[in-house]
Formats: sequence, C-alpha cells, structure tokens
Amino acid sequence: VTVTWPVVAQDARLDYSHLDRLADKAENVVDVTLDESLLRLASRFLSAEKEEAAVKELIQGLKGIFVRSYTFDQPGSYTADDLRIIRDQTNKAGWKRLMGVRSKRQSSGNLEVYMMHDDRTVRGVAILAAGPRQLTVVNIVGPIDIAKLRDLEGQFGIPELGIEDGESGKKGKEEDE
Amino acid sequence: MNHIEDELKKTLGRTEAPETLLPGIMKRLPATSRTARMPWTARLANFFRAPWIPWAAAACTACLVLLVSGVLYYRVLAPETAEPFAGKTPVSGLAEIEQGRQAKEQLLIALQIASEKLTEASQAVNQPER
Repeated sequence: VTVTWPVVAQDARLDYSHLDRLADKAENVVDVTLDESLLRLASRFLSAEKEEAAVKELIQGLKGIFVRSYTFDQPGSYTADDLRIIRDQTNKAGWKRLMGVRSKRQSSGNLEVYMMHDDRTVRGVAILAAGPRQLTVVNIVGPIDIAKLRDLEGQFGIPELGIEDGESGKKGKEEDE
Repeated sequence: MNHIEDELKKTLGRTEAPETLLPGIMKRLPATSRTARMPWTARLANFFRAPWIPWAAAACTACLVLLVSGVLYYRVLAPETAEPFAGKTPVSGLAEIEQGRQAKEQLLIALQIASEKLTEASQAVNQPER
C-alpha cells in the first residue's frame, strides 16, 4: 500500500525505502504498512475482549504503524549504511534515544529504541533491531504508551513469525542470558 | 283420479313468490354473507373491527420497538462492542470487511513485533550482559 503522508505527520515517520532491495535477499519478510485510515478500520474489527480492547485503546490517536522485518539465510546481508540512514533520521530534532542495547556477542545484535516527543506528548516511536541475520524497523507515528505496548507481548496468540535471530532460533537477548 | 292429478298439478305448479319473501331471507342471512354486497370501504371498516386486530397491532408495535432498539444499540449505543458492523460509519461491503480483517491481522502482527522488541530491550537494560 502506497501512502501519501501528510506534511504535519512527516516528522515522526521514518523513510526506510532503501531497505526495499533487501527483500530479494531475505528468507522471510514482514512488511506492515498501516496508515491512519487502515488503523481506524482495523480498530472497528477489534472486539471488546480484554486483549483486543487494550489494543484498541493503545492505537487511539495513532497516525500510523509501519514495520519492516527481514530474516536472512546468511549474516551480512545488510550494510552498516542501511542502519546509518535510519539512525540519521532519528538524530534529527525531536527524537531522543530512549535505550540502546549493544551485544558484545557476535551472535546477538543491537537494539535501539527512539522516541519523538514535544513538551508533553509522545509523537512517535522507532525501534531498530539489527542482528546478524535479522533486521527489524518499527515506526509508530502518533501518541503511544510504550509501557502498555510492551505489556501486550504474547497476548495475541500469533504464531511464530520467524523473525527471531536465526542462529539458534532464539531471540538474541535470550542467547546472552 | 283426474281430480287427484289436478290437485297435484295445482299444488306443485310454478307460482310467483310473495314480495315479502326476499327481504325476509336477506334478514335471516348471517352478516358475512351479506358483506359480499357491501361496498369495499364498508368491508375494510368491518375488517378493522375484527376482535383480533388489537392483538395484531400490539404484536407489530412490539416488533417495531425491538427492531428500532436493536438498530440503535448496534449503531449508536454500543459501537465499541458491536463488531464488525458497528460504528457511525458502517462498513460498506464484503471487500471492506476483508480489508478490515487484514488490517486487524497486520496490526496485531506489528504490535507483536514492537512489543517483543521493547521487551527484549527492557530485559537487556534490566539485566546487564554477563
């Protein structure tokens, strides 16, 4: 879905179109593009049950959710420049690095969380997870409660997406522990 | 013998009915038989005078009230719970329903990935690498 993004919302929206070329190399690609209208539509299909009600509350007021996740057969399928282009965007005014996890082990990757906010309002979140065989970019545009988002983990009953770091089938951080 | 025959012919012979006979018969006929001769307006009026009409009207009113209540509930009072056709802008067709289901699926996948990554990050921050 191609989205023409309004100028007012552009600041929290990351451009990672340079990653498109990785689709051919990847074993598995997750590409989610949900603009405001699709979010509203999706919201109407969420039930009032506990988990889905929490999702509905969480996405209230969001302008978009964009996810790109690649899983590769071989390490080194993406370049440092690919990451740099994304980091350059999160270095701009308004963005702050919320946390960054850099693994000393080669098998694990780096995980960075950025947030854009003005005085009191969160205007967007970006998550960049880069492992040897996996690259994930999450871009949420609009006010979002990160704590509530984190608490949603494992509540949807979605089967394994195959986006974990490939070497042992476990997540990078779990390997470290 | 001829006298008897004459009497029989006289008795069984065709005679004109008295003028009072027809009105008498009409009076004795039941009302329903008489309606056939009534104008349609009178018959319609009679129809609405039937004893079961009030009950039928009450039943129709009750159905109407239930229908209106149901529509109000699904469209206005409970748009949050009455999925997927709820809301002030109801979905317009099967294509939109399918699109909505796909959007919901994508949304849950996106949030799943985002929450996984945030959990990984917070776990790593809370438990420094060994």
